[in-house]
Amino acid sequence: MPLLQQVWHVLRKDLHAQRWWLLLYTVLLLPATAPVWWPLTAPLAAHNELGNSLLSLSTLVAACAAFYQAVRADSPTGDLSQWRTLPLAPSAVFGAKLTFIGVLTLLLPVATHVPAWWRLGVSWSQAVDATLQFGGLSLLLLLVALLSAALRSGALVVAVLALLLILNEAWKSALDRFVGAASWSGSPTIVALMATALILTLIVWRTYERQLNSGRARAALVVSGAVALLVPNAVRSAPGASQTLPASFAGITVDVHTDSVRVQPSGVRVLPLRVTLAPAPTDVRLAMYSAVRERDECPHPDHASQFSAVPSPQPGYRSVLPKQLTWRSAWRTDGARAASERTVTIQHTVRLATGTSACAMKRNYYLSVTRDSLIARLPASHGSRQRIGGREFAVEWPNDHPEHLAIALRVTALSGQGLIRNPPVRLSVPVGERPPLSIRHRLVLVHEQRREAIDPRPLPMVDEALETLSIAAERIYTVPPDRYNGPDLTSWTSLQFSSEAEGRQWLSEATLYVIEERTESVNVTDRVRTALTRSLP
Amino acid sequence: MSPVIAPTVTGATAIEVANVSFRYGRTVALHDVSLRIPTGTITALLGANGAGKSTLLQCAVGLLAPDAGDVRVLGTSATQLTPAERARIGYVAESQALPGDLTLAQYERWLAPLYPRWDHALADTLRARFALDPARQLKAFSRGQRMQAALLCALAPRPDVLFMDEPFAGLDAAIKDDLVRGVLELSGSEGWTVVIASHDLSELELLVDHVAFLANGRLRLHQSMDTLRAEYRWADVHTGVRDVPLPSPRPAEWVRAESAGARVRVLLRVTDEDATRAALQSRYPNTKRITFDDASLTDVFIGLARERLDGNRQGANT
Repeated sequence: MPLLQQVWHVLRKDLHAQRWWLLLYTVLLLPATAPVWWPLTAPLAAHNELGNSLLSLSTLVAACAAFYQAVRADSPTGDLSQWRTLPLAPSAVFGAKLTFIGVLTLLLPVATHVPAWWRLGVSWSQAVDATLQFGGLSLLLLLVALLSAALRSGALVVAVLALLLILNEAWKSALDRFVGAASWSGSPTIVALMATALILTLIVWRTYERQLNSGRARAALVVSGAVALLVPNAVRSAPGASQTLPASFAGITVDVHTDSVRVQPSGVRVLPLRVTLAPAPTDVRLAMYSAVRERDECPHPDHASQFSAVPSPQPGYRSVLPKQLTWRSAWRTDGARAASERTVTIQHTVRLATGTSACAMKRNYYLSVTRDSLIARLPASHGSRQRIGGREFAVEWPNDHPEHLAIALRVTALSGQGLIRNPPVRLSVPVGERPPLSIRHRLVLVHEQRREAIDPRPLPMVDEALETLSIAAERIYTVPPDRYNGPDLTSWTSLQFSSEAEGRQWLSEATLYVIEERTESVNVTDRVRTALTRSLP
Repeated sequence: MSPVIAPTVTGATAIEVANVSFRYGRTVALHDVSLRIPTGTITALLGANGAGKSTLLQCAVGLLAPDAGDVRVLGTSATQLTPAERARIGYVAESQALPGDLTLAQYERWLAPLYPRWDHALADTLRARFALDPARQLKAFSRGQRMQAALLCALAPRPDVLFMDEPFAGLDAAIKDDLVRGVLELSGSEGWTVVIASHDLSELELLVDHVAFLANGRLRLHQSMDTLRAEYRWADVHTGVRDVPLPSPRPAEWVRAESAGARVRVLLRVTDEDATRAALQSRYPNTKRITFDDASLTDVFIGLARERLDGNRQGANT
């Protein structure tokens, strides 16, 4: 029998033997697509964390159960597996088990999701990305199952993995302590890839190498696992911001100027910094923040804390909204700035330590550039929806908030991509936690006939749902369903509407703009340090 | 240590074990075992628990790779057997796992395409003979029925070489007798080479051509049954002296010895009856009478097994 025929022969037996587990697995995969077909299930799922977790766990258990039994039936790596006495090539059995993994991690998830992807207008690349993302964790678990069958003891594999994790933590602690690095952490992707390669190597070795020696196999597992987990940690993680100017800075001149040192009434000496950029970019917004790099030499409490500051006023999204808008909002916006302005100056103040400048020199300084883009534009009336780029946007009006502007945007998309998942809002973010690129989403209501706009502050509340599965749905509320009062809610009166009816009328005629803010950070410490050195005695 | 008693093998060799050693960690399972099994013969592989029988069979079918030496089956190293060569080799083991979720019929249908010589008629015959329900899942079978199903699946491909490791374990006496005769007669009539590891010596005695005996991972004896029957005999010595002691250490050719009153009964290897008679006469000068009886395979097995135990005890004492 030819090899491929043998593979199919073994696979067919496995599929038949595990048909009930596979059916259960398929059934458990389907609820992930429910928000696409039945939008009402989205909030249900969003508020049912336990149910979501159980569903995810059950899906994984069903996959593992099906695969584990298929492996146990004729383990490719087992010493005494019955198939070795049958007229089957090792490659056929190995190939059949890998194909079985493919059925579990690729074929069935894709088959159950294709209709939903089609409905959402998901592109091929997005679908492939989502499939790989979904199958990644399962693949690793299934490979561990395959290997554990090889070693005849799943407990041994678990023990070895636990040992490796402990070693990993010890290694990171040692690096922190003896090398003095602030943030050492391994890349999960590299670790996962290396672990997968390691496990596959061991499986292939055990499948084809008949000169068996369990001691050597276990020693190889431990050593290789240690290498897989420890080596990536020896590479220092990327800093919080790039030293080079991001692409969006191309053509922009950055000048850092200092004024003379001032002494505040509290006795703290400050040095005003001016960062001037020319020509003024019309499609980006700029900010500056600093963070203490080393704290040991800064005894003053002000210097011992890391902070960053995002300057107000709030952005006006000049590049993505219609021109000459009037903002119906109590919130001050920056939308009126003239596009012809040639330079932008950012004011920043450096607080100097008493009597010395050494501590001030230990700060890192960052410029951030934010670029806005419009990702969806749809009528703000209840029930309107739009499908674009693999995401479905739908507007809902919760009707039980008579005093406040209450609008919700439901987004259904592939999990992990295209979802509106804003990071938590924190005014003081340690620099180590600040990503080089952060993405936030904002909603703006525009009445195009009246040339009016509403920035429905505060920031939208977000419900996340089914985030561990391949399709996710979430809702963004301007008023969360369980809150009726509060100073941070946008009331009709604060929007200068005389009544709720007038506000709702305005809303029904408005357009909802969904804006994506992409913020890149650039480290300008060297430039600031040069300017400070020039200014300080 | 007793030398290996090996037969003179003529004709083609189906299985050749050459200086095979295998260890499980620190435990020696096989030590420098060598034997040749002629084509078309039935060989009983005997030995106490832990003697190395199953390990030798697992090396022979390629489940285990020897640490040293090589097992060649049908001219090919067992670890290098191709699927086409494996299709000519059958293997049944007590510990064999069958796909429990499949029915017997499904399993047969799955196996049949793998074997070019799968004999559906023979499978039907064996199924009827064993009274196995083809529509029943294998996991629903009793232990004996599972072994019968495994035998069916090993015999239906009409293998040139058949290895059976304790195949009759768990079977009741009536089925066992029927099965042994059926399998071995079929093997004999088809000219298959069969190696069977079993404790059930009584059933095998009349059917096997050769016997190999393993003790502590070493091959102690490999003989044809005819030679075994001819050479291993009971000598009944009427010593004429009451409570006569048995010699210590025992002569190398003595496999087993018992004494009762003035009588000493010795199981020993007899190549020349007169010489043996003379040797016994000289050991017991007052002997009045010496008679020789045939020894059964069981007698020889127990004798060799006891010798092994004695050896272990001596080893422990030293």
